[in-house]
Amino acid sequence: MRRRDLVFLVPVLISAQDVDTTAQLADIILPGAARARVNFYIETTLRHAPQALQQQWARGLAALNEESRRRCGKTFAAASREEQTGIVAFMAQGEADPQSEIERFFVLAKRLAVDGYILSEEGQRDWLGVDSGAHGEFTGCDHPEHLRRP
Amino acid sequence: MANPVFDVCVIGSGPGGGIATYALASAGLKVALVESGPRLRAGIDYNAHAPVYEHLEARLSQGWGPVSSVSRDFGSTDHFVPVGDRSGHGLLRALGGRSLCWAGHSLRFGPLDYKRWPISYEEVAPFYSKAERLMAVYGSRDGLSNLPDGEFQKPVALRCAEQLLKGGVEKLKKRGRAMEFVGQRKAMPTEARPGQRATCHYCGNCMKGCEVDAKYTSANTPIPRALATGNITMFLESMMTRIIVRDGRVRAVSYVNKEGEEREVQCKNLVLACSAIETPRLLLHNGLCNSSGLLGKNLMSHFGVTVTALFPQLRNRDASHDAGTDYFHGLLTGLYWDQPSKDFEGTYQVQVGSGIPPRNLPIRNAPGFGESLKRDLREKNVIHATMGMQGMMLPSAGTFTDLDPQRRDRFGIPLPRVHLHYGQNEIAMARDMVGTCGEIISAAGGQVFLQPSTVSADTLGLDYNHYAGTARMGLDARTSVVDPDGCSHDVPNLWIGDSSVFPAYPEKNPTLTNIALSWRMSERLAERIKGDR
Repeated sequence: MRRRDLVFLVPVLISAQDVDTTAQLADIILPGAARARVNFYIETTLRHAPQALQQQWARGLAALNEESRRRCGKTFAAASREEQTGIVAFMAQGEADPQSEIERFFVLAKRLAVDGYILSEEGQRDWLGVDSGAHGEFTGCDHPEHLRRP
Repeated sequence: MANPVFDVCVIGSGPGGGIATYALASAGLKVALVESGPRLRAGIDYNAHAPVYEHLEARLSQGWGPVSSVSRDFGSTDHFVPVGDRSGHGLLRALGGRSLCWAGHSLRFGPLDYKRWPISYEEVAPFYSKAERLMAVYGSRDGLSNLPDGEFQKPVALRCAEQLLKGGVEKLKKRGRAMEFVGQRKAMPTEARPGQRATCHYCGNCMKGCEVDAKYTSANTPIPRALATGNITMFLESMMTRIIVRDGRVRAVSYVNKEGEEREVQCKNLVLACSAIETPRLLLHNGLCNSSGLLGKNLMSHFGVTVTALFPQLRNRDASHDAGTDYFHGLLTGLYWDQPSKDFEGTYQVQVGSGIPPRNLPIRNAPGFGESLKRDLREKNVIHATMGMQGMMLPSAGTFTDLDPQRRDRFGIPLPRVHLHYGQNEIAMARDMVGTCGEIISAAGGQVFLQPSTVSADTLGLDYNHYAGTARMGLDARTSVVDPDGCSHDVPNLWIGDSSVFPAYPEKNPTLTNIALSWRMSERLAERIKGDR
């Protein structure tokens, strides 16, 4: 995350540190997500989301940092990539039937990360390899009077 | 000016009401169109291309596909009360009604389907042709016995996995199985023609509302043409609440306008075209047209289960433009038309889609995280095909709509209850579909990826956009609500122009038939008015 990216962000919902945490979490779930700035998508989506979901996100971030401090004495954003991966693996254990706050947070974060990445240019072009622009048939000029050479 | 008396007042501007307004105004009649919703401008008031930051809650419940401001409320229980097995009600209050949000599937009912009706296919066929020309329907001429060809523009191609499934069907046909795999037929122009809507640009967002108005809606084709005749007056954001009957005939309707004031429209004839839930609701509330006791009864829809296939041979296929005309390009049909099943009555069709739609992934349930998740998700979506069953429901005593004794809307009208219960016939039909699709997938060289482990009433999904049958047509006033022209048996100047009048329901999508029948009803009504003059 470059500093100048943060200028555009009005932290209605999450602080600058939360933005970093969100970006790094999304990137571990889907490598490339941070480069595609999926965190901006998550922030914007949550800003429009029902309050209950915003609160779930805030509780989830707190649970993530708590788990991180318990494991390595640092916040999630300050932990190494290896430590972060270990934490996400722990979160993902209950994916099929999430019970705890942190397990439910993984399911929500994954949904949002996938959603944001699909919408990004990198996700569309480099990951999925689809051309989803809308293209009607373009025939150009087919008027005989214009096609006739002088 | 004194309060004018309109020749006809049309309530509702969806597929049925839109075409009725156009047909009646074109016949030179003065028409009042009363619509409970506002006019929404394509691309301005709804825009499925825009990034989808909003409507998160609706997207959570609708599987995370793109949702537009018009498609977000489908299935919300604000305007109906569900009873029994899972149901919904895809109501859209706007000029154009649900024709704003439909996928455009336009399939004629066939001669076999009309055997259960008091009218024949031949009587409706000219109206199908007129409707297809107005709507600009594309398709291929397949020559099938019970899915008649129409007036088509050039067809849209199948995608890779759909092509493979077609090959699988061809193999099974050689082994004596009765089935067909054809391209879908949909209401959007594929050929540029003068005076016609824009040709489709294949963005794949039909169901969320077409923002370039290529897809047919009542709001972009029949209503503007009706307005051009100078014969119609529109009452928008006006909820019809009371039907005023004197001496056995409708004389006026009263409605509540945007400001909450009650007003009246005087009319010589009334056409109700509000959907198979709203039309009986308004009639039941007004205590009309129910001498048979059948109003709201015989509620039918489509139901089904979904089977997803993976085709390993597509693993390395090139990047492609998969959007097309929404998701379903293929259609498995021709099942049990001539040779009924021993296990169940009726038949079903299967809508087939594949590829990666814009800004969406059909398969999102790959477990885990990291590079493996990324690989897994991409591959599954690239090589998948979805087969969505659409089965016909037989009318039964357990399936109907009535008025809720407790809940009312803001106009004081009781909310409709939708009573829905699946029977053994539906379950047997869905089991057959899962088995048949499995055979086709393996004949096509693919493998079944997702299917219900056991088929029970809980696994069946209802298509709540396809209700029909609640004011059925028939010759006998004791066993039907309207006559074969769509005119009420009880009130001689009250007509119904929506899918409520279907007396039986095949597996095929309802909208084209709804439009053809409403057009036919309107011409009969216009003839009767002119005869009386």
